[in-house]
Amino acid sequence: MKLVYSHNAQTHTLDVTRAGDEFEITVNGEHARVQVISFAPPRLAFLYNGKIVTARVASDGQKRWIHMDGATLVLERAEPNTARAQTHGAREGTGSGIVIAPMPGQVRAVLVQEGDAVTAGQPLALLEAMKMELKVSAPHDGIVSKIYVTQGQSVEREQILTEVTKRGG
Amino acid sequence: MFKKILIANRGEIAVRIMRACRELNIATVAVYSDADRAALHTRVADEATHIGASPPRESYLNIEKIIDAARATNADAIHPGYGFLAENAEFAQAVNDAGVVFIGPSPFSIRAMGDKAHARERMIASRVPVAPGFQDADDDASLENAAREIGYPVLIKAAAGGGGKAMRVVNDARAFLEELNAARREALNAFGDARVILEKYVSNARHIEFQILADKFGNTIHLFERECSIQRRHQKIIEETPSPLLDEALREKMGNAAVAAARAVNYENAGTIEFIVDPDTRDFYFLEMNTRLQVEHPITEMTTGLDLAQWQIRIASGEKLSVSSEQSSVSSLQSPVSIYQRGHALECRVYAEDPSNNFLPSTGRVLDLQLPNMPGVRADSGIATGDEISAFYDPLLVKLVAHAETRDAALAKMHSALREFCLLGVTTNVEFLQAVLAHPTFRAGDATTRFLEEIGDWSLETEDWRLEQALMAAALVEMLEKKVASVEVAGENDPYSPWRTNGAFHVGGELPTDDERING
Repeated sequence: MKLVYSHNAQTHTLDVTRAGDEFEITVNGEHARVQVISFAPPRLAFLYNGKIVTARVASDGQKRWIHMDGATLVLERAEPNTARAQTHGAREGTGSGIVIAPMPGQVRAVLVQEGDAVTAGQPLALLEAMKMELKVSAPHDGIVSKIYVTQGQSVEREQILTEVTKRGG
Repeated sequence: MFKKILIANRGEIAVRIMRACRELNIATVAVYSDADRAALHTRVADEATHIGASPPRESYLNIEKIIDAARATNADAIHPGYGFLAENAEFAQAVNDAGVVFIGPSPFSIRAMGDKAHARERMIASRVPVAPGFQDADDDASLENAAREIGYPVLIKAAAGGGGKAMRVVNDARAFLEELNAARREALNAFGDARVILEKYVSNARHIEFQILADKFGNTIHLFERECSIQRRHQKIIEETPSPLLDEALREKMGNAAVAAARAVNYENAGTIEFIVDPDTRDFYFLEMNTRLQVEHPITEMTTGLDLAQWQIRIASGEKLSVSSEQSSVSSLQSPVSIYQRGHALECRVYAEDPSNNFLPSTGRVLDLQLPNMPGVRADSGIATGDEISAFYDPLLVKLVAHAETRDAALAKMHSALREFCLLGVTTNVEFLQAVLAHPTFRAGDATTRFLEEIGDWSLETEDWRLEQALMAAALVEMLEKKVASVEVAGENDPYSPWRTNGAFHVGGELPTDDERING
């Protein structure tokens, strides 16, 4: 089974096959044999390199949460062929004038209207989450070409709020 | 004693107060918003009343609805917790007017300490040290003159303010008027009151506060200090007691000043006097009084052995503190308890925030929660597996408290507790907390309120071995769950089947009980 995960915008390719009561795992080209000792979600224990590795695991959509030895990692599962395209599309939105929510929360105010001319750094919207207010500002000079949210609406992190089109571009 | 108490709050503090009530054999009423229908505090309470929509203004800040809920449930007292309406004098007055006991100070004390200009005047009159400052007039010329006399850097604070809002540091005279106007605008926006006061800005300060207990009979004592210098954006993150900075002489001086400050407003119930301490001169200045139970109260409970939430209730019901001349004991009338600091305690606040995203709030569903369970560690939690962490409320999820014989031992214990702590589904600051505890400046006990800011870059690296093993774990789960799916019918015999355990896996929306949460 081929698997692709991304972690901090880096993708990692794995290949897993069952070999008797063990698993053969190839991580980024390196082979390893591991033996599962127990799997009682959220607890997982496996034998690797003569040592028992214990983890707590949970999944949420494509996200895989893994807690090991005092630290938690979040991996994002991706389909082998689309992995690269996906990570790039979402993160590099700012260059194209797409303005995303840097945190989840409520839209407290939309400060511009479609068609408005704005300058770089000008506040476009006010988000509020957990008693904290955050101004979301224009990435560059331009025209507000599209507003996707309204006041009072809840948004997820990285949800698109507005688009600011560069003049003449 | 009260028969039934309504807790006008949510999250960990509501749960903590309900437990105190249960131990005193008092019934509890929870109030909840739409978002909190299934929240832990509603399940721990004996009964729960819906009070409105999710935004705090429509529920936890709605005075009328909370008082209606108290009337409807026949509660004879209301505990406000911290935040929300805890320091709202109108609320305290409305509770009293409804014939219900407000567990906290009088509306007069709340007002007297809530206004920074009046509080400063009162402190000066009671000879409590305040930073050089100015609160006598509000016109530009007087303020500008005063700023020059105080000497830059100067702090402009909203008179009606608190929590770091509308607060500005001015470094030189040329910027003063511009900053003054900005502070006035912010103060007007945030508090509906544009008045400001000035204070000398102590740039390398330590934040050290004293816990106060005062009964209805004029007995006022302090329960020593807590140091809370580890802050970001005026939000405390790690607290400890005793403070590594204080010696016996300074502790006594500050403790006496704290008692005098509380007496100056006829304070009653639990409260906290916050001071700024200049570590070089060892001068200390009154900062403000929090007229409520503090988030970080557990470290005082660990080192003194007193239950502050219970004392709040006992004082409100008319119990008397017995105070010796050295003010070293409290008692219920039957059994005196002498008060001293035993060992060292630390608190780490686990916040729903993402250190890799500028510490901005994070949300999500709690997929798994494992609280540390070891000697000397306490976890005050307001959440359970399955709970949704929304953007409506405070990001504080869990308070981890470690108590040991010495500061070093408490630090080691806290590290151990943080390693065992596991929360999946919502990004938290747990690894950042580990990094702060491990920092040489913090370990040496030298951190000032600007410490986190001065370090600046707290970005955390994932070790290669950890990433590799996490990838393996993810892949194994994928394989094992696939297997479970393919043998669904015969699932009962599968040693890997999630149905064989009663961990975080639950069926049909059934929520885990409190016991499962603690053990599981």
